Amino acid sequence: MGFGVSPSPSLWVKDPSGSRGSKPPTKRINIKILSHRDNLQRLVAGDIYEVGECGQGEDGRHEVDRVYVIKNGKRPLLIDSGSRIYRTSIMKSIEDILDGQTPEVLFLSHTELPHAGNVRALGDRWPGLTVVVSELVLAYLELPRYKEIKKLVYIPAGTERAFAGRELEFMNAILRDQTTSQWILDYKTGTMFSSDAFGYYHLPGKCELFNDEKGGATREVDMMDFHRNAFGYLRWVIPERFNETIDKVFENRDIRIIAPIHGNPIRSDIKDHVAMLKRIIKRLRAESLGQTPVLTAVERGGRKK
Amino acid sequence: MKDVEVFGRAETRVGVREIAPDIYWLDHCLGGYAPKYLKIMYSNMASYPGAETGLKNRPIENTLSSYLIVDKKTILLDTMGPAQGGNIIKGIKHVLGDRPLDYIWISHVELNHAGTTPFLLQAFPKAKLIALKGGHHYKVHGLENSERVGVGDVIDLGDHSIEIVDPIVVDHGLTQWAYERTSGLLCTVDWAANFHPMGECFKFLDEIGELSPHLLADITIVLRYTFPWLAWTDAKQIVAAVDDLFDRDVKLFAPMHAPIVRTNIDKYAGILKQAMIDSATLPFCLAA
Repeated sequence: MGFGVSPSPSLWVKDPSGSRGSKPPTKRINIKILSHRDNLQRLVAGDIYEVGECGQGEDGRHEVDRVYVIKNGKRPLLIDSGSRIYRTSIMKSIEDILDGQTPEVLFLSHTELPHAGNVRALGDRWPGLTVVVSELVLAYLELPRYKEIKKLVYIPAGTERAFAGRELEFMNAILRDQTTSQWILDYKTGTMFSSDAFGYYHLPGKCELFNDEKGGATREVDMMDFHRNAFGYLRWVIPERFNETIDKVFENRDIRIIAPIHGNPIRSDIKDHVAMLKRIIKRLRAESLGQTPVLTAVERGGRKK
Repeated sequence: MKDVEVFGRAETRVGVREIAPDIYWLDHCLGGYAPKYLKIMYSNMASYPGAETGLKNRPIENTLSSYLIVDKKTILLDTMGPAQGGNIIKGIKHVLGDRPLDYIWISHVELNHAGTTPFLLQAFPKAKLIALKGGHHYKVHGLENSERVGVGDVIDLGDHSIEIVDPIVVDHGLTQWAYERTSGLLCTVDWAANFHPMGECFKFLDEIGELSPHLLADITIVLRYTFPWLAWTDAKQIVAAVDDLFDRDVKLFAPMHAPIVRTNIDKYAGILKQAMIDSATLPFCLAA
């Protein structure tokens, strides 16, 4: 298994409305390639950037490991720190985006290695960095070199708070692969950083594509397989009860982008992706019972009249 | 205690105790430092319904365990966290002497269960990692060189053998539980976590005293704290799976965050099952 198999990202894609054939591509997308391999650094929306790398999994599909950078004027914020195996490129990408600015806060969605693997490296590089975690985290057990974190802030789930002038909601995450997981909603851009939830595998060659770009549409099978692996308890979850809670999460919030750590940001068709997740919950439950899921017309892809 | 060898202090402290022939409990327990390190967690749990009668004003602490089995092959079940890294190695060497550690079994990849792995591999370079199969991308978890096992597989150690059992109640998807067939030790990792009174580190539950009147409320709260998804389940379905689990001859019930239970296991299992049902009835609040 290795992570050096991702093809070089292309700077160009065909115009979605253009003709087929050998015409040169005409639409530039905002992928920035650095000199080192597998660097997947892009502008997501507003002042939010993604960095990270892709690794090939057991079945050949890829899984991305993201860090998000919010430029936030001159007071940058980071969401998660990424895996230590991608440290070199992640650190370089963050430096490149920050362009000499100093990040003020690192928010950890949770403390699992693919998310917290570079806390130490970031703290060494920017010693004034404040680290923010869920109040459920037992730092002395779950954060490497926790004593060297000069400013550690615990946040209760379900609260709103501003950091570096940015208004955020620290949501009581309804899908967690670790007790201490939190989702974070950025009110300014409507971006919900969803940790492992809404993650998905992808085929080789699609590492850098957003869902709204040609060839980047989220495949339900990829999201379902990811959720089966990440959330082993879904076999017990009664879909009707859980999906009602999903609806409540999205009904009361202006969520325009879903930004998972193990998938590229979902920048459009939010309702369709929520519906996809709800179908997945149903399917995984049915799978555990050896049944065929019973889907409504809407769930099968029809639309409400 | 006479039969406990203790290494380090406070957040690094690890005690070593033989709990069955050739089976050792390596236990991190804070002792008097618990209020300092666990204050926020206790405060959070104290806000749960039911805490008023027990958890809220009681001096308590919990535990973080690993288990070491010494046979023709030697195996360590989980590694503790980075803070305990130096002392768990001392504890293992105290037991093994010059013998090698052959296997390091990783229940799941949270840092407090697997975070010492790099230190252990330096100290015991021939040790093989054992992880659950069926995952997707092992390298980001540091498990790319692990051997993979599945539910029903048996790891033969000589006179002892470890059966990988269905991890019924998990948070992380890549989680496995273990049952050692000779001793009857059942390790359910994060499930069935519980507290013990301050100053009672490294003790079996029966050495601490009779089953606490707070036990049901305590376990209910810890279950819900650890596994919030219980809110969306029919807990009776899970309880049926728990019954199947305890069809085994369980003589040592050994979660990794609770005192080991070696008496009245049926009664304890009954409390656990009721706690599952009670926990599932607690509401899930989206806002604080």
